[in-house]
Amino acid sequence: MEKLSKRALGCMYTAAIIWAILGVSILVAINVVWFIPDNMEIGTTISIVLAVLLVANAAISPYFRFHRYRYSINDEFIDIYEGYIFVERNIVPLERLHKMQTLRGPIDRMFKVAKVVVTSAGGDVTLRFLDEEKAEFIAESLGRRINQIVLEKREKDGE
Amino acid sequence: MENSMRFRNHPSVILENSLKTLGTIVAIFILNFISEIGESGIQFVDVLFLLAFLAIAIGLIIGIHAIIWSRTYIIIEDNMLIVERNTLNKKRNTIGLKTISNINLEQNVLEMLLGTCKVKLDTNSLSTADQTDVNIVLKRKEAEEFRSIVLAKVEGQNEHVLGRECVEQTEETLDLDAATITGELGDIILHGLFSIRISSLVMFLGLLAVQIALLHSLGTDNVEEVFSELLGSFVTLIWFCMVIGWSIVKEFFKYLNFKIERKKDKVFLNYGLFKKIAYSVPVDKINGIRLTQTPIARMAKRYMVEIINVGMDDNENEVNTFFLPYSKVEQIKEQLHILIPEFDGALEIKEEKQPKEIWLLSIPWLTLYLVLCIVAYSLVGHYTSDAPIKNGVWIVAALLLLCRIIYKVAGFLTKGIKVDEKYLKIVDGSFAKRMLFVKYDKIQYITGKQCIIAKKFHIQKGSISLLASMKNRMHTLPYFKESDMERLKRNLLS
Repeated sequence: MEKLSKRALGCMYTAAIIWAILGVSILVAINVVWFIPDNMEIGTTISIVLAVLLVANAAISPYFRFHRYRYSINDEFIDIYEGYIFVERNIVPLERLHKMQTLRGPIDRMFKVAKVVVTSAGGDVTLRFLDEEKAEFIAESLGRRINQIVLEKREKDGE
Repeated sequence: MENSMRFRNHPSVILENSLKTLGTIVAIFILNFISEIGESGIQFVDVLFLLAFLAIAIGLIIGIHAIIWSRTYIIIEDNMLIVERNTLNKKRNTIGLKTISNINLEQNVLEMLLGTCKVKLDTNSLSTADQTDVNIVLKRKEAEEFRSIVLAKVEGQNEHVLGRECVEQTEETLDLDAATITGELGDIILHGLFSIRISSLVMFLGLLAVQIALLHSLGTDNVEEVFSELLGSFVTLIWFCMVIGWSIVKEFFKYLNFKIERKKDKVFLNYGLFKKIAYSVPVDKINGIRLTQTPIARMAKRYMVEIINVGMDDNENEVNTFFLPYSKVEQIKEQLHILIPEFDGALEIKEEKQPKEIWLLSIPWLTLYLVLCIVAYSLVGHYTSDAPIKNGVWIVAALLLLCRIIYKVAGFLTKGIKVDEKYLKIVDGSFAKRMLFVKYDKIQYITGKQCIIAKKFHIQKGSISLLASMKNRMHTLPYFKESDMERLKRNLLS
């Protein structure tokens, strides 16, 4: 199974930091502006704990996600293994696929990474944090392989 | 083009579509009008104005729908079905006949009176899995002719793939033209009874208990007060019984004249009294079969069969459609063997229950629950120093936890999976039970999920994705051994 490049790690850290800043800002706003009374220590304590967890998550989770991420693409299937506390594995046979997309968000563009989204009749599966060149290559070769499968199926049906 | 056939909706759709729009507008206008009259009193000019408005609204709406009707055609051309609308907003939908998964006929009361019939076509497509792709209203005879033409074209296109496989499997065992099962009156009534949900039963028993308690307290001093409460709760009980009774009666009328037939590679379902339904389902488009039991049916060891495909449950009136009504398992096996022998052997599979290690996965959730209870207790304590109220938090928390434990134990005793050579069997539920049987070539993709604790004990849960409407697309896999995932992957790819 293949691993991600270092660019993906930078992208993951950037996204995690942005989410952490957003989360902490919301907590600060709740404490300062919202209804939590001054003498309610439990409310403030929870907010501090959550803020610490968010910051710790931003520091730790990209490292584990990066090192855990694996993917495998061959003539038969796509196998993706990703996650942090909860690890998810998606297995999609190539002959079930009928659509592909390559997507790049603003943070993806900064780090020159991309997502490949493959669609089957049951829904989408996403390959994330791939190098742009790799994503293009995968999209092209998947497209060729899917065409080949369709042709083989038509020939078999024609028999 | 040589093979081109043109159809247009029956003119009655103008009335049907107009009534929907008109009813809403007229109701809103009349309500506003009445409230204004209430303030200032009715005058002749007001009546004229109302009548003029109604006449213009009716004329406009009917006119618009008439134009749409006159410019909308459904064309069968070679191996395509084209829906063309040449109004201000031009539309042309082209559908390949080989993608059609269902062709269904429906007839409501108005259509029965007019002698018309609605033909509903669904395609084997994810993007339209939650809606009917094509709706056309024709005279009954024309509708059946339309359906026959489309079916013949679909068959002709796919017969070298579908027909051969189905015929080979079924020729040995049954006469293809004689596979019919009819639902008797008693079957449909029993089906209604077994479909009653446990929540309705609990509410009924609760109301009954309140009645009994109030009856006991009639001997006290405040007889008048107790009597009025008793009357109120009695009325509620009667009303509730009527609601449950109506849901059984409704099911009865909905599924009256139930008949299911297998002809070559298709299954035909017919049922209904006030709304007649006729579904045709190609057997190769059946993505899975599900045996369902409500808690009451589980106690009586009865099962209902549903099929998973595109088109059977994408509309409100199709949501509770079954394939076979509640029956004993031996009868179900016999009937399935007659109707869809392609799924023979599925019901013999015995599932493997979830591994015992899943109980260890509850530890983090229990810890979090305890923390939340402490937070809730502190919050309540901040607003009141009343001890019973504060202690009430722990009592409620304990009761919720007890309910959750009972639910989890019931789930542990029910859930399981089996990765068989031919089928994947998934058993889900707690008090109710659902068993899904799927062939591997119908599975679109598999997802496996593991937390840190589950990884330590080599267990995981997951889901499979099928081609079906939103309601039936994703099916959860309860916890199973990691080794089963590899077997599942091998079967999926073979």
